Amino acid sequence: MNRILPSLAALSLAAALASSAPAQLPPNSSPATDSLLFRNGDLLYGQLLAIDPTGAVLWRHPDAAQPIEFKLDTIAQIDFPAPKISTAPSNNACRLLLANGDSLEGGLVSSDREAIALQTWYAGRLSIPRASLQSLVFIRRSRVVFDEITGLEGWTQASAAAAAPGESGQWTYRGGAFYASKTASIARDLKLPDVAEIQFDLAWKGLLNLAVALYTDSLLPIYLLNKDQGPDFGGFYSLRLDNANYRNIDLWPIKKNEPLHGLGQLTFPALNNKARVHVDLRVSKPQHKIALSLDDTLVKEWVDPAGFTGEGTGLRFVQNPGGVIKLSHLRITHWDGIFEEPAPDSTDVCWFENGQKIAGPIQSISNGKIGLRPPNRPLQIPLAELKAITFARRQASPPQTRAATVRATFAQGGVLTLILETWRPDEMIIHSADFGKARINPAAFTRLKFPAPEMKAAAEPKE
Amino acid sequence: MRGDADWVLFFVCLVFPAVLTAQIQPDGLFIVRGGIQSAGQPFATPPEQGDLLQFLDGSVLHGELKRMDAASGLYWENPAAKNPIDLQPGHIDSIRFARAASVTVAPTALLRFVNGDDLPGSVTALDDEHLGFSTWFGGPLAIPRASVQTITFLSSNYAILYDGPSDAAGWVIGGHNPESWTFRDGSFISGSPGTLGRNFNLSGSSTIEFDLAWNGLFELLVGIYSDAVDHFDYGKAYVLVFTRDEVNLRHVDAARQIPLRNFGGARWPASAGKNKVRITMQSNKEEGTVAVFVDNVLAKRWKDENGFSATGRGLLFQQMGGAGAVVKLSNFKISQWQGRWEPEPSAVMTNVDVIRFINHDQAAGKIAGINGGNLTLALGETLLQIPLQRVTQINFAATPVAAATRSPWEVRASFPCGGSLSFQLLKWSDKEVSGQSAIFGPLAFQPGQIRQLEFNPGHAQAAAPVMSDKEFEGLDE
Repeated sequence: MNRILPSLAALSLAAALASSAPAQLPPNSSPATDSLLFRNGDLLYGQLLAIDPTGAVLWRHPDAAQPIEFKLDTIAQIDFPAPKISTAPSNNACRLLLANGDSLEGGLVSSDREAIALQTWYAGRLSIPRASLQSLVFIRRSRVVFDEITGLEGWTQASAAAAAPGESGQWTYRGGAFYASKTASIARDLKLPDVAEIQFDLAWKGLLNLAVALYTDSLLPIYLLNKDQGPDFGGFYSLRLDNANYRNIDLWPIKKNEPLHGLGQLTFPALNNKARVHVDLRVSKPQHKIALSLDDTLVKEWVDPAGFTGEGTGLRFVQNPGGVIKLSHLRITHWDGIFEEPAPDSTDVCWFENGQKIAGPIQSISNGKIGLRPPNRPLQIPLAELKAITFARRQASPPQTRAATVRATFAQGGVLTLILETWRPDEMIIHSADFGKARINPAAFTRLKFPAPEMKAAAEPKE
Repeated sequence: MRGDADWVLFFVCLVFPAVLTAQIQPDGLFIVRGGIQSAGQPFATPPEQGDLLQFLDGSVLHGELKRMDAASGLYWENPAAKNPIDLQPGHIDSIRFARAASVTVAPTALLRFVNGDDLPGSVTALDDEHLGFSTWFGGPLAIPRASVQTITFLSSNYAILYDGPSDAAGWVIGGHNPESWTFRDGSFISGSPGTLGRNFNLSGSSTIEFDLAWNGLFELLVGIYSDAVDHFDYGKAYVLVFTRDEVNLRHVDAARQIPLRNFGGARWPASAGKNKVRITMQSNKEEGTVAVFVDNVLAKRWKDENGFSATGRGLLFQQMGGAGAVVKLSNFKISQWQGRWEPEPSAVMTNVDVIRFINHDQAAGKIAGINGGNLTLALGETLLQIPLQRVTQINFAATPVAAATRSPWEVRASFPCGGSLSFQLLKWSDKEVSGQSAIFGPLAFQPGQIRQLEFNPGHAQAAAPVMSDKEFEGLDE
């Protein structure tokens, strides 16, 4: 199975919203609830007040008279509500993917043979060794086409034709999400770009039996068994997700008066063991490709040999008979459209916006230009012309021992591996194996995941 | 729904993948013969996590309740916290106590109150104002009649055989998959195929109640009056097959030429969107019936025309392990009784008093009183004297009840012997729990007599959802 180029694809996941500009919380943002997950499975909502170097976690709970002090080694994870960060794309705004899988957003300031300098809103200027870099994607413009469900307005609901009498329902809106407990269809012309990333979260109880119509021109559901006798519609793709069958994911190109044939089913057992999943679809109309990732794992890439079937720019969600479903965090962005194209390990590669590429060692980055030395002659390329860079693999410093470190998840996606010294509401002091000690704005992260004590102990040096 | 042959084949292959003797009959039905033994094993003792504190927002904390009173709040000791946590009850949902001492009771009646409480005991008298009721905790009491919704009279020799689990002692997991069931916080949880059983020494008719929660497309087989508790055997046994919206009754008897009899199924009442229900299974040996109630509403009552033909004494659960399905069983109450009539789980809501009789007839009117073992029913100008032995249930006419003032210290206690009571909590110490009940006045219990305390009753109603919160409960992170 083909794989999306890990570096660029992963980078593009959140590149659309990344910015080197300082984060700005919307004025009406209110402190939402943090959650503390303990190693024994207990969970407590509230507010993190501090983590100190002695291993104490200070927590505020609305029913507790005083802040509660927990032992850090009993904590598995702390989650924070995601802040809305305004984006200000620029010529040098980018997202870096490091060799250890970490990623960082910021403004590309400069680079020499040893290190790259990144200006970030959350940690100031960071100097990252070239040996730690894997790739870089520029954030050129606001790529957001649709961000978040805010209500039913603009959406078209309809009875699903396949519903049994009395079983047809409606999607209901509440708190940034759509819910359905009966067969229900909801659709909207979201002006899907030709090259797009479509992301949403699903949570369900009971049967998951969802059909997602991609690039449809019909806001009404199409009853497939009767499609040729029903109203006219343009071609679209139907993505089916269910947890009732062995082969539980498939994609069908649907066209009027043409026989039904799938592009390939697959079995994704994890779907049967979950009650929620993050869906990430990357679609390239010019390449007739649709790639599906579930919970950040690429599970399938379909290529339509007959060309791209989708004739519209709409999305339609149809919950078929079964359980109760929640649809949330729908986000559509322009995507860079880069599927797999293995980059050479031995040299740096610059990718242009028009799809061209040029390979050669990067000498420098400064003054908005990148100095490249391809085999023929040195080049100075304006950063504004580039879409991405993949870096040659170098002998990296010994990897940081994961077991001893905290995994911090950025609000806009991506993870940073760090050793946490202290946490305060306005500042974290951390140590990174890639860029050393840093002071970070805690608002950058939505999750801190702590190593198990036994792993931590195993990683500590023995006398 | 699978055909019966498929069902048996699926069932046999899953439960006994290797050790079986099977014959294929001309009709394609598999029959299993011979002794099939599977060494079951008791539960590995799970790590003791203590009491469980649950908040309205979904937070859960294990630990131990040290003390509690209205003046200073709730003092909770948690092993992850460096010091005990001092809490107010405003957002607490419940406390489940890991250890609760059983109380021996021999009730002849079960009261259900208008406020949802219920209590086992014995009726001594009834007039226009009060019901005389003898309870396990307070002896004879005069209860305001207007506070009582239903009196269910229990059959002769009614006895509670089991109320739990507070631990996994006595339960057995089938030997073929010891990992299939786990015990945690008073619940048995299964995410893969396997059996869970226990011998309750069932002999007479019985009422088996438990909470069933699930995720995914589950299929749960429940063998009642099962000979074996560590594997499914094919002696005479009834098997109830539960799925997310349906229940079927089957009878398996390997000695018969056609071993499997299918009595048919029924859809659950109002199953859509639920993932937790209270199941009540009533087996009436004298009448040869098996009935299933879901959330106290009758799903179906089956009658075996051959007479009740299960001979075992145990209960066996088989989680079939559908794709990703997880089931959770908790709050068991198993009672046994004799006679042709059975405890009535469902109630009638009317504006007159309704009496149900042992022959399933019912009469409506005004109950004038109960005295000397007789009930007096006013039908117009006529007064009827009815021996209480002929009455199975009394449903009192609904009366308007003034909305109670909510207090953060209003709690509902559930007891190991069954029953629950609401009261204003005054103090909880390691010696005594004291409170004030609107029905009973001052109350006092031993702390170990309470299995669970619910706080903030009615909080679900306090929410003003666009849709049913319960329906979508669990979807929101």
